[in-house]
Amino acid sequence: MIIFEKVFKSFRLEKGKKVAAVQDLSLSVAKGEVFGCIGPNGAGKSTTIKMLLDLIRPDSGSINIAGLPSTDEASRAKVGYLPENPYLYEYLTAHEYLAFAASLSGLTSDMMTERRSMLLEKLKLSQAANRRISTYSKGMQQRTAIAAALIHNPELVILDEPMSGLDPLGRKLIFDLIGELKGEGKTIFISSHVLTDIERLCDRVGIIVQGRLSFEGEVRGISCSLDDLFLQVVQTAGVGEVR
Amino acid sequence: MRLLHTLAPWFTGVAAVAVYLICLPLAAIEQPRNAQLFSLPPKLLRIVAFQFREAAADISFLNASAFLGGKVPQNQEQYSYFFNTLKNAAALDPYFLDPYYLMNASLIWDRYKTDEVNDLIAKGADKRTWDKLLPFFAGFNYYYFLDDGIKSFRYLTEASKRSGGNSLYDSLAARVAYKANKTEFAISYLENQIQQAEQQVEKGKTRDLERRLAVLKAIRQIEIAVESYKKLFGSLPTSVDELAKLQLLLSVPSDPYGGTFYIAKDGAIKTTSDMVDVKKKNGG
Amino acid sequence: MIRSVVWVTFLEGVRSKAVYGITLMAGLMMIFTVLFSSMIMQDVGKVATDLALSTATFAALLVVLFVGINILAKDLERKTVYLALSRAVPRSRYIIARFLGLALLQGMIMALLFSASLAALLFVRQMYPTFFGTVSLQLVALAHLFIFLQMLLLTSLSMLFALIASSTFVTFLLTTVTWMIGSSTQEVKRLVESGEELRITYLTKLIVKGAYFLFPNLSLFDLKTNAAHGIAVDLSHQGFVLLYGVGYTVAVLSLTVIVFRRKELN
Repeated sequence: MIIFEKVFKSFRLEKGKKVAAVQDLSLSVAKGEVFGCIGPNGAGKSTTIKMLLDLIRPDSGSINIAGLPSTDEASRAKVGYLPENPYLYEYLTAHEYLAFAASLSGLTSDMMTERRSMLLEKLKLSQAANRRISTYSKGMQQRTAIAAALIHNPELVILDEPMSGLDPLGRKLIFDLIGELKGEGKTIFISSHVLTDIERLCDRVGIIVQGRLSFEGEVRGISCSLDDLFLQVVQTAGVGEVR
Repeated sequence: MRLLHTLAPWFTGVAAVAVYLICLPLAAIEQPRNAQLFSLPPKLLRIVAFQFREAAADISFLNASAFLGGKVPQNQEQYSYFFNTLKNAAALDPYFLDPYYLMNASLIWDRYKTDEVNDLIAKGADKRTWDKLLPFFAGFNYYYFLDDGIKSFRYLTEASKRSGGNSLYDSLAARVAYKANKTEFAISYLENQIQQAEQQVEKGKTRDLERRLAVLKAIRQIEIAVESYKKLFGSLPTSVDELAKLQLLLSVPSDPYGGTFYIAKDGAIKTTSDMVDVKKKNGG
Repeated sequence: MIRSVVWVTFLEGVRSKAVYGITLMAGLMMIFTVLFSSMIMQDVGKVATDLALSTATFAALLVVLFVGINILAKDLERKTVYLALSRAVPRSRYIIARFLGLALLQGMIMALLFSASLAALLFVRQMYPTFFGTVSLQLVALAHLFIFLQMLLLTSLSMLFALIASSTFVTFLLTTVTWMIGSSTQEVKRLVESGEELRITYLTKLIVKGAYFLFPNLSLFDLKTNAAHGIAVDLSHQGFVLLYGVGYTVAVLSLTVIVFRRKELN
C-alpha cells in the first residue's frame, strides 16, 4: 500500500543551519496491515507522514500510495488523515464540518448523510453536532477530526497521535474504533507515544530515531516490552537530549 | 460598612473625572492656529489622501465655512487661513463648486489676493465644463478688478454659451469689448446677483449685495457729475462737495460703508472706506 | 468540490465578528453622510455622493484587510488547509475556490453598501432637490461595481502576500501599502512627468514609471467624480479598465497558484 524508497528530507533553520529531518528512509506497509510508527519527539514521524500526503516534498527518494506517486493528488482519494493537534474550522458545526469534508472527497449527498450520522453516533458527538466547534472541548474536537478522517470510508487511514486530548473514555472509544477498522481490512498507519496501544493494535512497528528507521519488525516477534525495546534502540542510536 | 466598600470605587471614579474636567481647560495652552487646515502642499495632499480626496475636500470646505461662522474675516491671519483652506479644498477636488463660490462671495470684494483668487475661480470654470456661474464670476472679476479685458470677454462669452445664450452675459461681454464704464458694468452684474439671490431666498446675502449696489450707484452718480464738470470747465473738480455746490449733484451721496467719497488724481471716484466695512478695517 | 470550498469561505466571512463591525460602521457613516451634506451650501448632491462612495470604498477595503486576509492566513497558520489538501483536492482548485468565496463575500457586502448609498442619496435628494446638482444614480451604481472590481484585484494580491509573508501582520501591511501605492501611482507619475519640480532625478522618474506598471493603478477604478457630477464615462475607456483589472487579477492569481503549488505546508 505504502512504499517509501530512500527518502531524504532536510530543513534549513533560521540561522542557516541545516537539519536532517528524515534520512534514507525505506519503508513499506502492506495492504490491510496496521503499522505503528514510534520514536522520540522530533524524530521525524510527523515529517514522514506529511511527505506521504504531499504536504511537504522530499529532497530525494520516492513515495508511493497504492502504486501512485504521492505528488499525484489521486493517490489521496482513498486516504483519511488525522493530523497531530488538529485545528478545525471553529465557525462550523460538526454537522457542517463533516459535510464539508465529505464533499471534498467527492461523496454524494445521500452517502454523506448516512455515514455522517453513523460516525457522529459512534464518536458520541450526536448531541453536540449542531453547535459550533468553537464551543467544543479538546476531546470533542479530536473526535470530530477523527470523524472527518473517516467520513469517506478511506482504504488507508493515517492517524498522528489519535489519543491526544482524549480522556480514558475517549481513548477506549478510539481504541475500539481502530480495532473495528482493522477488522474491515483497512490499512492503518499510526504514529503514537502510547506504546501499549501500539503493542495491542499493530501488526508491525517501526522506530524512527533522528530521522532514521532504526528498527522495523513484527510486534509478535518482540520478546521484551515495547517500552524496553524503544529505550534500547534509542540508546544505541546515541540520542543525547530529551526533546 | 459593606455599602461603603462597594461605593468606594464609584465615588473615586466620579471624583477623578470631576478633577480632570476642571483641570483640562486650565491646563490647555492656546495653540496658535495653523495657516490652513491641512498644512501640506496641495500636490502632496492629493497623494496622501489616496482615494479619499473628494471627502478631504468636503471636510476642508466645511472647516473654512464654519471658521467664519457667518461673519467676515477680521484680520490678515483669518483671511490667510480661510483662503488657504479653500485653496486646499479646490486642489483636492477641482470639481467642487462650493470653495469657488465662497471665495467669490467672501474674498473678491475685500480685494484679498484678487488675482490668485480669480485665477482659481477661472480654473474652476474650466474644470466644471457644465457650470454657468463660475465663468460669469470669473469674467466679471477679470474686467472689474483686474482690468483684463481679454480674459473677461472670453469667460463672459463662455458663460453665455453654456447657458444656451444669456442676454445679460452677452451685454456684459459687449461692454468689456468696447471698454465701457466699469461702474455701470458692475451695476448690471450686481442687479443680476440680487435677483438670483432673491430667487434662492438668501436674505442675508441680498443685504450685502444691495449695499454694494448702492455704493456703486452713488459712485456712478458722482462719475456722471464729473463728466459734466469736465465738459464745462475742461478739468477735474477738486472735491465732491464742489459738484454738489454747483448743483451738478443733487446732494453728496453717503457711503453705506461709512466712508467719504473723493476724487482721485486720475479722475477715478473712490471712497475712504474702499467698500469695506470701516469698523472691520479698524480691527473692530 | 469547489462549490463547497467557496461556500465555506463565504460562511466564514459572514459568521465573523469583523463583518458585523464593518457593516455597522458603514451604516453609521451613511447616516453621517446625510447630516454632513446638509451643511453644504451649493454642491449638496456632489458631497453626498462623494461621502457615500468613500464610505463604500473604505468599508470594502476593511473587508479585504480584516476579513479576507484573516481567512486565508488563519487557514495556513492553523493548518486547517490539511482538511482539503490531505484529500484528492488539487491545490490550484483549492486556492481558486478560496478566491471565489472571498469574491462572493465581497459581492454581498458591496450589494449592501450600494443599497445604503442609494438610500442615503435618495434621502438627500428628497431634502434638497434644487441643490442636488447633476448626480447620476446610474453612474453611482457603476462606481460601486468598479469598487468591487478594485477590491477583487486587491484580494488576489492579499492572497499572494499571505502565501509568502511570514505572519498575518506582514500580509496586512503589504496589502495596505500596495493599496496606498496603487491609489497614488497615477498622481505621482503625472507629477513627476510634468517636469514642474526640476529637482527630480532621472532615476526617480524611472522608479516611478516602474512602480506605475508593477503596482496596480487603482485610481482607474475611482468613478466618484463622474458619479458626483454626472460626467459620462467613455464606454470604450471603461472597457479597457475592466480588461486591465481582469488581466492583472488573473496574472496575480496564476502566480498565487504557482506559489501555492510549491509551498511546503509544514
